[in-house]
Amino acid sequence: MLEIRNVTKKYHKTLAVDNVSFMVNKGRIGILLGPNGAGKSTLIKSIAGLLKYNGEIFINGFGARTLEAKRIFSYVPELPAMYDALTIKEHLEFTIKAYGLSEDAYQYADELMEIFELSDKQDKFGNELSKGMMQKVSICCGLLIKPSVILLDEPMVGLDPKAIKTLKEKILQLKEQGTTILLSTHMLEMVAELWEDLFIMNQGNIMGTFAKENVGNKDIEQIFFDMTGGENV
Amino acid sequence: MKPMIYLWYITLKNQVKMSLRKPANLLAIIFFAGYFLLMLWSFANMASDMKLQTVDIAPILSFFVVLYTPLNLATYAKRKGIVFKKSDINLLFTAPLPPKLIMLFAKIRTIWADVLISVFVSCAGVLIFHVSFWKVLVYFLFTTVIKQVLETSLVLILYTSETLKDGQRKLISISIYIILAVFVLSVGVCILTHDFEVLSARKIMENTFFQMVPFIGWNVAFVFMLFSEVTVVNVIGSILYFATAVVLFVIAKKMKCQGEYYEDAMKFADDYEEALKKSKKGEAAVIGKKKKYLQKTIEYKGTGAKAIFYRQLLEYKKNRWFIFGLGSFLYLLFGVGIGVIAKLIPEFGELQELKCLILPAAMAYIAFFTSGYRTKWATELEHPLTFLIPDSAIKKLWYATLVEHVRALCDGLLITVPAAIGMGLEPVYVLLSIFCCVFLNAGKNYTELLARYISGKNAIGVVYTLVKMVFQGILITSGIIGGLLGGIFTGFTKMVLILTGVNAGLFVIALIMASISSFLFERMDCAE
Repeated sequence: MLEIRNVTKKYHKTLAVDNVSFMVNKGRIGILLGPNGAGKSTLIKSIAGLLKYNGEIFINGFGARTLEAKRIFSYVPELPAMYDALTIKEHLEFTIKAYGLSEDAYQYADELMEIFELSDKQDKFGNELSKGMMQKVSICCGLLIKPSVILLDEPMVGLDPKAIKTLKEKILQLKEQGTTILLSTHMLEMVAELWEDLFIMNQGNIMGTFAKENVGNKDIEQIFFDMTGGENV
Repeated sequence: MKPMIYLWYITLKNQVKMSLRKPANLLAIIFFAGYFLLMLWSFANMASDMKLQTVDIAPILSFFVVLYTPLNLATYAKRKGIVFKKSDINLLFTAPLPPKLIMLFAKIRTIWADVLISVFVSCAGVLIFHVSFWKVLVYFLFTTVIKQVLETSLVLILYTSETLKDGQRKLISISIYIILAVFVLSVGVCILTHDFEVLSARKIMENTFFQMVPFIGWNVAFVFMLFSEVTVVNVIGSILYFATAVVLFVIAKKMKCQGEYYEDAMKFADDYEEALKKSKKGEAAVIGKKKKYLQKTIEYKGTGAKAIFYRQLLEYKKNRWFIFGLGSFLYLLFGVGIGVIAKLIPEFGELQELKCLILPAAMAYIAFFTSGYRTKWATELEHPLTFLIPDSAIKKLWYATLVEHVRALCDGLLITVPAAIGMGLEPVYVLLSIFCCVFLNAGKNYTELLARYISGKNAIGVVYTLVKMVFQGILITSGIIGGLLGGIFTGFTKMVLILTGVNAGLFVIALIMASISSFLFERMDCAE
């Protein structure tokens, strides 16, 4: 479960996130939507523990900055960055070491590389990877720890159609396994069949929260444009 | 710490592997290894020539302390110097690892230079100065353990403490600056109280006031205690150094840290990578400083390739110093310098007309010296629009370099006028020198395109730099040949013709380069 309570983030005098609260329950897929500059990235980085903020964030009841929370939490950033001198395989191995995962994780790493079509490139160095490949590695690292809560920031950007399909399948699989998922994206059509909870953000505030079971036949695009008055994502 | 050790080990192993794959890197490694041995050999010779006693190693080692410690302290005071990469942010900061440990890892990554110096100094100590092995071992342990414990603890406190308020942190930073000021003051006091003689540096370092300066003086005190003679002052200084290391270590270990520094580290990582990217491209970059632009407008008096010229002009108008930059400053500095030297040194007059060749030589030197800095023309080659504009290649080449020619003219004036006043050059030489600057820089600009075309994708690599150097060499050689031809025709009696020859040589080769460039322009890859 991911719980955000009264989170406020200011950059000097600019209020980027204004007293935001929401919750994504266990085994639910939450989607964070909003136009550019709405404060989504700031909120996501705050949840990932990369920014200082006022308020509280809990991951399965643990404070987001605690090591207990970090052990069960994954973050796939919008702009992946790899270590130049580490190969794909070594990035995954580093994740295993950093999270203290069991030996079984090596086999899971191989499986992830296989389904994201990285097996034949596993010895490529970080500085030899394209943005799409980096994104795949970043997703694999995020999935490798079998997180209880996963945060995906624009995960489909740069991915090829097959990888997008694989990622969607993986997200649904994670949901089935009880993982809490929060996904931020601009691509409404990409999450149309995935979303369960929708959080529409604008000017640092959550403008609306919707649960799929409560909106009837309305699709995500309709809900978003009704809420924002046609403003672009 | 295991994941970090893994990361460090794999990175190092792969970097060595990658380096060995590239001959250029292998050459660099051989060069540095050779340099290391050469340094040892030179020191050995120097020590033998100067008949240095064992005791003389103390001021030499103290010199290293004085050289590096203030610099390190000033960096820590500004909370700079610890660099995290974007990959650290994505993969380390979010991992279940104690934030303090992550900072420790980042600090440890920076100590390799210190360790290398310690290895070098220790080798030199035993092999050259014949210092007893135990002393060198103690010194090595001191620099690689105690000194690092002290500095790392200080870094941890300044960068990561969450109990320290901003005001308190500022107070610590100010205290460090005060220590640096006291250090400078102590040097000043020592200089004033001693005569200038060969051993004055040693006397400064042995001075009580100097050895009592926190961190720097205490460190020197320990070096003197170990390698020179034991005095009350250096014993106290050493004890204070060790005690400070212990106290700071305990504070750093006990303080609370949950990763609030991540935000600053992230910002710094962005700024650092941005600056790194710029410096790789040859642009001047200061970490964290965003260039500020003025609000200006321009009226485009033309279409097609002309638009490139007006856009460049608009960009320059938005600069605080308009078209003047570091290069202009260098030209002015050289001009004034030559002028002043010519006035101050009477022997300068004996050069007679030959002195007019000083300016082209200085211009060539500056042109080479600043060749790593990018001009608007170089950035033009990275814009796809430059290639897409529907106009002829020759026009695009001309209008994209026009501002650079104007800049070269201004630079020519900046170096020539003050130098000419000082040297008393005739107007014809002034004119020829300014033209020389224009032709030289024009050629230099076109070498940019030629080098990029030949080096292809590796537009910032070793091949590119080498090719560029070759073309610049051709350019300057053509000037020299032109000058020699001018001299041969006149029996080296008329300097005007020699300088005209230099200009002609530069002009012809610049023209050839421009023609080839315009031909290649249509056929080359956009750099980005």
